[in-house]
Amino acid sequence: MSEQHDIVLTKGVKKDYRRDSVVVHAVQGIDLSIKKGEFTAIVGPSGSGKTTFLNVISGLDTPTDGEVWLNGEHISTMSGNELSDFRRDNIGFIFQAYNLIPVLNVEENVEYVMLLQGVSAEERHRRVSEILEEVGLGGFNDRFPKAISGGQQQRVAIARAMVTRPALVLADEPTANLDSKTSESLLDMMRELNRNTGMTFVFSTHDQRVIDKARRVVVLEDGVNVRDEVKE
Amino acid sequence: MRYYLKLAWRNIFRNRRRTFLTGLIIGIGLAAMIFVDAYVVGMKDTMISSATSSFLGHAQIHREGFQDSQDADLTIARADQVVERLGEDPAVESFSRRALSYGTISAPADIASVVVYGIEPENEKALSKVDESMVRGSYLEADQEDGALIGEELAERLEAEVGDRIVITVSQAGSGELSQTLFRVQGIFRMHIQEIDEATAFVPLSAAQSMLGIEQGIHEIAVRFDRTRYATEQGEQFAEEYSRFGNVAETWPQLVPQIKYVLDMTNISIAITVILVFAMIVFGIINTMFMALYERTFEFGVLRAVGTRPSRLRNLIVFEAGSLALYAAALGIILGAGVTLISSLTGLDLTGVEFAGTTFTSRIYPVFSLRQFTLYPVLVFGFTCLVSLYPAGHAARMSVAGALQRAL
Repeated sequence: MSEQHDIVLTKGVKKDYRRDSVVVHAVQGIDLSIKKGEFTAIVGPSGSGKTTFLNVISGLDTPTDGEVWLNGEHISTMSGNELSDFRRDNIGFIFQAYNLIPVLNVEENVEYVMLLQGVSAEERHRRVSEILEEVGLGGFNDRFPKAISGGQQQRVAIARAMVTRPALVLADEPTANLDSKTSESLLDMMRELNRNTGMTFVFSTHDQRVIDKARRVVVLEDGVNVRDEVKE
Repeated sequence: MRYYLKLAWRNIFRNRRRTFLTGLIIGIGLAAMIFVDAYVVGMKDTMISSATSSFLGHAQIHREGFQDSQDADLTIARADQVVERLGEDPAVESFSRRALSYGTISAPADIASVVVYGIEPENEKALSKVDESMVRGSYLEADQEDGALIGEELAERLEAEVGDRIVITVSQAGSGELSQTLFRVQGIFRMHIQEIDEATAFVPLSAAQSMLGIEQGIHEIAVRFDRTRYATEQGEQFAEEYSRFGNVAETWPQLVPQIKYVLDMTNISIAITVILVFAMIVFGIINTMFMALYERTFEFGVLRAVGTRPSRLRNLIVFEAGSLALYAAALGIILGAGVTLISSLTGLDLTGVEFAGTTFTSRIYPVFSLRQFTLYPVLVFGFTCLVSLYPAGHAARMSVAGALQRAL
């Protein structure tokens, strides 16, 4: 079955919202397949449905219609704890900002998902130190989010997203709040990690720098996939 | 679990000012409960003490039927045996024998109805406060057969002074014939208990016995226990032991039931106060938790997105509320103990005020008890955790995508 070879596979995914008694068709039937190791940007103007689509393929939201497979699992039918556990073990998230829990230091933020997985303290510490070195934040373990820059906070978020080696890393406009130099360096780092680890990255963005770095660009307009371009 | 406790404790101090103010509101509520409870316990003790130590005693023994009929013939059966037993009872600190009857007291200026008590002057000193209440003249002495003590208000009405002659008339036991005896006013007292100050005369027991024609008979034995609480804690045991030979032994809750009712009412009013304070706490907590919840919607969304189960998020919020309650309880205990301690230096002066048939004869001082510092804080903690289930449940049910979108 082809679903098992794809990290993400959607068939006829639709998502409607009701806003003040008006039904908004945010996603209107998207078929998409994302293979392992891809570095894909889902782009489009505001309101094109990219964040909604990302939410649906990550199990943060349920589709109104259609089906979603993630890492071979049919997540459209999952709910509650099953879905929470699935996200914990298969997806790393990077958000636009405020990714980190302010009262936890860098090490505690990064290890949080491993803690949910029941990884031992020793193993957690080893993996946190390793990933922090990889994202260039070695020695930042005890710092709290407010004591580091926005770019460094995003690196911590990347570390948290990758530390469990998930099948998919989803980044929702990860460079939106960063200056161009920091964005460039962050994107280079994610691309490097993608190459080294083979982990699949999917971005939702309208940042041209992200689009330039992506190896595949999926363009959404009005909730529909209007273009799907793979770069050489 | 430990991780979430740590997270919860850190979270409540994210907004120190708000945590302090919320903690203070809850703490003031708890302090008020401690303060009110301490004063109510003090008031109860003072009330019981005022009622029992002035003249009543902690318990009394009468012949069955005497309390209703006041029939002079109904003297205590086998009084010697009862007295001997009381003398050997380790719970009994002191006791005094009495004879009593309704009668009249006349002086040249006026005549009044009185209750005449024949008392044992020395024993009575250890049991009642008649000797301490003398305003003029002196207390009775055992060998003064014709001495009488009357209340200040009665003395005013009779226009009698120390040394004046008065005649007490009573109905004799058996025949019912009137018996008149001449006494001299030995002393005038003020006990701050209206019915005693207005209409009571004390004479030596032997004089009363002779006047009433009851020989060595007595109508009442007033008893004082070594502990005030003995009457409420082991009163039934005492009553059972001494209610024999046709006699009836009763402790103060039966003798002055109105005090018991008032004390019961006081318990109800404390319960109402506690409910009101808890209502205040409920709204304080719900308000604070929802404020925190709306402020941190995105953060909860992140926690849920990365794999936190709804139940764990709910636990986190309950732990935060619990941490807040612990902080508030510590504030409340310090505040409550401090304010109560300071106010205990002066006490509350209600001396002479009559309440529910009892006149306060001393200042009311707050009384600390273990429950003020255990039960109430534990209730505050438990109730806070319970109430926090509402905002916690709300957070746990929140849509993850909605939470992540809302704050952006």
